[in-house]
Amino acid sequence: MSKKAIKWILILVILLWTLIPFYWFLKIAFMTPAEISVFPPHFYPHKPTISGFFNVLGFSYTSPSGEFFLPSGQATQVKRGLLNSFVLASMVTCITMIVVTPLSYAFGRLEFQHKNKLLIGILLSVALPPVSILIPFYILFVKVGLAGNLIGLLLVTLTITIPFVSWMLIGFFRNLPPVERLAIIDGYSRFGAFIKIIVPMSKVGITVGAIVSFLFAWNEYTFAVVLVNGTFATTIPASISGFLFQHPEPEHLAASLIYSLIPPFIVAYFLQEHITKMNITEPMGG
Amino acid sequence: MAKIYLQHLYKKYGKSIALDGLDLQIKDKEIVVLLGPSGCGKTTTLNCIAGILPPTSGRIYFNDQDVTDQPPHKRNVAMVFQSSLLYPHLTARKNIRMSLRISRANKQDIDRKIKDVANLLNIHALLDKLPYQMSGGERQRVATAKAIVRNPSVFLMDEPLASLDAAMREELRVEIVVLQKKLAITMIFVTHDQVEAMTMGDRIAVMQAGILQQIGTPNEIYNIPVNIFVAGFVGSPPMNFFRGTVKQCNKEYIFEHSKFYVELPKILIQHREKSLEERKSVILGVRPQHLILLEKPERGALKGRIYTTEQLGKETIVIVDYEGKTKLKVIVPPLFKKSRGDVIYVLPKTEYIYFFDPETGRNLFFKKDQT
Repeated sequence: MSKKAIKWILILVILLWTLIPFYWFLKIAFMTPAEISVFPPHFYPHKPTISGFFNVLGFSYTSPSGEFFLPSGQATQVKRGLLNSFVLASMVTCITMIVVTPLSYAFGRLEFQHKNKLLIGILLSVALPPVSILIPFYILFVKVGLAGNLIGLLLVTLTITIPFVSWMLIGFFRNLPPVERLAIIDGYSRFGAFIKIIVPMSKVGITVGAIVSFLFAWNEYTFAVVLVNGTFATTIPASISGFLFQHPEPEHLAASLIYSLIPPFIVAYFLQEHITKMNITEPMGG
Repeated sequence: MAKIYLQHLYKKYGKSIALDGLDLQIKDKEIVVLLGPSGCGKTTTLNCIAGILPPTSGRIYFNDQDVTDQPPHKRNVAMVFQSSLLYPHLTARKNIRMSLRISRANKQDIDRKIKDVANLLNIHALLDKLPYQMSGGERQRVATAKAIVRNPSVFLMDEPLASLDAAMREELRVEIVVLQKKLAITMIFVTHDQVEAMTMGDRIAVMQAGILQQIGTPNEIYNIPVNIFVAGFVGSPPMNFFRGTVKQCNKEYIFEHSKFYVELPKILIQHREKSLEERKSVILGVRPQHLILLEKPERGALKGRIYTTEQLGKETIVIVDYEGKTKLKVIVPPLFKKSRGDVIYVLPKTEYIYFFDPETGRNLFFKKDQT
C-alpha cells in the first residue's frame, strides 16, 4: 500500500471517529421518541421534527400533523445552564486575559529574581490533573459557602486557564522582536510601551489565548458536576448530564447538545483565521 | 548638532563587566565607528548614549551638558537598531510617525515631514507597506527615515547593515555616509565589519573587552595600530605575527626567530625604545602584502611550504605553513604559478614591520610617526 493510501485511510478513520457520534445525536435530535425506539434504528429521521429544540427550552410544541410534545423536565436546568455557561465563559476569558497578558509578557521578556522557579511553579500547575484538586476544592468551598455558586466555579476554572494560557503565550511574547527599545526612543514608558505597542502587536496571540480560555470554561465538566450540578449555578455540561439520571428523553438530550455547540462554533468560525495565523516561534513572520 | 563626551563610562551586567571605564570624545558632525568583536561593549556604549541603558557609573555629556539622567527622547537622539528594527504591526508611514509623537507638531506638519523624509530616502512606494512586505534594504531605508525624521542631534546606528547581502550593504553604506554629510548630523555607527568601519568612519574607535583600544582615522588605525589587538583585528587577511628576540651584533640590530631573521632598518633603530634588545622576546608583526615570496633561498628567509592559495581576481592570497602547522598569509599578484606543496621562501619588507610587547601587546614604536 502506498504512503498516500495509508494517509487517507487514517484521515478517514479519524473523521469517522469524530463524526459518527456527532451524526448520531444530530439524527436523534430531529426524531420523535417513538422513532428513536424503532429497531433496527433509522439512519435518518423519516418524519423529522424540531419539537426537541422547543421542549428543552421549556416550550410545548404541536407538530403540523397535530402531534403534541410536552416541555422537558430539564428545561429550567438547560436554560440556566446555557446562560450560566455564557456568563462564566465570558468572565473566565476576560479575567484570564487581563491576568495572563502582563504575566506572560513579564515571563517572556523581562529578567527578575527567581524567574525560573516561579515559571516552574506555573508550568507544574498545568501538569497537575484537575481531578486531584477536586475534593480539596469541594471541601474548602462547602466550608466558605462557594459550593453551588458561580463564583466558586469561576475561581476553580481560573486556576486551570491562567497557567495553561500563560504557558501558551510566554513563548509567543519571548519571540516578538525587541521593539521596547524602539518604543523607549520614541518616548514611551515601559508600561506605555506594553499597552500601546506590545498588546496591539500581540493581537493574534491574545485572541488565541482568549479562545482557548472561553472554550475551556464552556466545556468544563468535572468541576461543574461536583460543585454546581442541580443548583441555580449549573452550567450547560452539568445540566446536560442531568438527562442521564431520569426518565430517558434522548431527543431532548440531543437538542441541548446542539444548543451547547453553537457558541463554540461561532467563536471558532469567526476566529479561525487568527488560529491558523498563530505561530509561537515567529509571531510576526508574514 | 552635538559633540559628545563620554567620561569614564562603566557598565556591569550582574557580574560581567561590559564597559570598563570608557572615555570617548566625539566631535560635532563626524561619523565615529565603534568597531570590535561581539561582546566588546560597543552596543552597550550606544545604548548608554541613547539613554536606553543607564551606565553603572560615569557621565555622558552632549555639548558640555550632562545628560546622563535624561530619558532618551529628551536627548533628541535617533537610533537605528540591529536588523533595522521596526514596529512589525505598523506600516512604514505609521512607523515614521511614531518618531514624531512627542514633538507635538500638528497633523499638516507631521505629514509634510514624512513626505520630505520619504523624498530624501526615496521610499514613497513603501509608505503603506508593512515591514514584512519589504526587502531587507527597504526596511533599512524606512528605519533610517524613521530615525532622521525627528531631526535628531545625534544619530546612532547599531549594525544596521548586518543582515543584508553584500551588494546591498555596499550600496547602503555609501547612502548613509552621503546622507550624514548632507544633514550634518553627528553619527555613531556600531559594526564588527572592518570594511564597513574603514569605508564609513571619519574616525574609528576600536574596542575590546569594554575598553577603548584606539581611536583615530581609518589610516591611523591601519598604519599605526596602538597594540597587537588593533593590528590583528583591522586588516584582511590579518597581520602575521612572529615571536622572537632582538640582538645586536656589529652595530646591526637583528630580529631573530627560530626559522628566520631580519636586519632592522636604521629608522627603526633611531626611534627604538632603549630596551628593545634587552627584552627576552618581542613579537614582530607584518601585513600579508608586506611579505615577499622567493623561489630560491636567501639570507635569513623563512622556508615553508604552500598550504593552499586563494584567488581573489585582483590578487592571490598564499597560505604558507612552516614548522609543520603554523600558517602565515601572503598577498601576491594574481598570476601566481606555484601550487600546493611547493617549497617557498618568505621575507618581510623591513620598512613595514611592527614590534609588540608580548606581555602588554603594546606597539613598541607607537610614539613614532610612521605615516
